[in-house]
Amino acid sequence: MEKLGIEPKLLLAQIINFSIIVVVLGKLLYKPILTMLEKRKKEIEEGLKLTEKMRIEDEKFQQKRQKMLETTRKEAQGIIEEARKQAKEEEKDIIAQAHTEAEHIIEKGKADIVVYKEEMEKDMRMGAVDLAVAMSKRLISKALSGDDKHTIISKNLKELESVRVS
Amino acid sequence: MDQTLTKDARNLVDGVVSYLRKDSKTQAVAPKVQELFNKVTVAARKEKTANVVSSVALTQNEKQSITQILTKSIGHPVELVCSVDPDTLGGFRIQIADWIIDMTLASQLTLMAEQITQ
Repeated sequence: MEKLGIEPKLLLAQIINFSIIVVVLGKLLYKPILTMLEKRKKEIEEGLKLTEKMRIEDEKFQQKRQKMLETTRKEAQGIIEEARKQAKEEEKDIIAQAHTEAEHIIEKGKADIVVYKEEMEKDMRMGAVDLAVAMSKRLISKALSGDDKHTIISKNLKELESVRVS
Repeated sequence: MDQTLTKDARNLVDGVVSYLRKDSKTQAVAPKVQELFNKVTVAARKEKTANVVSSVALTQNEKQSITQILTKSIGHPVELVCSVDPDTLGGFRIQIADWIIDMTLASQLTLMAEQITQ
């Protein structure tokens, strides 16, 4: 061993030193690092679990949101349909009402025309009669002589005489 | 022009008369003398003056006839107050208080007009 340049004492001392270092390092450094690594691993696992949990929650939330959106869309569609239906019914009602009112107006117009026509006819008739009476008076006053008038008076007297007095 | 007017007027009068005949309204046109006599009022029976309006001046005979008829109808003699109104056209109108016997042509024409326009 000496020929190889290896001092047995020195080698032994180095082995002892190395062993001491290994023991010391194993006690002081290796364990805390392992503990720390273990802890870190746990934290990462928990983080991953939390992330997975959050992902699942997020998926659930998205599904719920989608469902709510669909429900809301359906409700909105229903409301729109209902509103359209109501609008159509109201449109029908308005048109029917307008027709009825138009018919009333036409009927009233016809009635007014009839009344107006009757009034016009009456006015014309009265005017014609007034004219006839005026002309008759003028004609009679010109046509009747004094003798004619006395004849009428005689006739009237005969009528009066023939009446029985009550 | 006056002749044309008279011709037109005659046509108009003829039309009115034919209308009346067609509607059988002529019976109702002349005032019913009987009805007039039945309506002698209390005031008329007390009145002693009768106003007579005619289209020409009444003769003595006509006045006498009227006096006799009125005396008979109201029960005592009445004095006639006569006047002439050409607008009556023909016949006469007697008024004693509020009792009136209108037998003038003017009133008959007015009645005709009223019945046509009714």
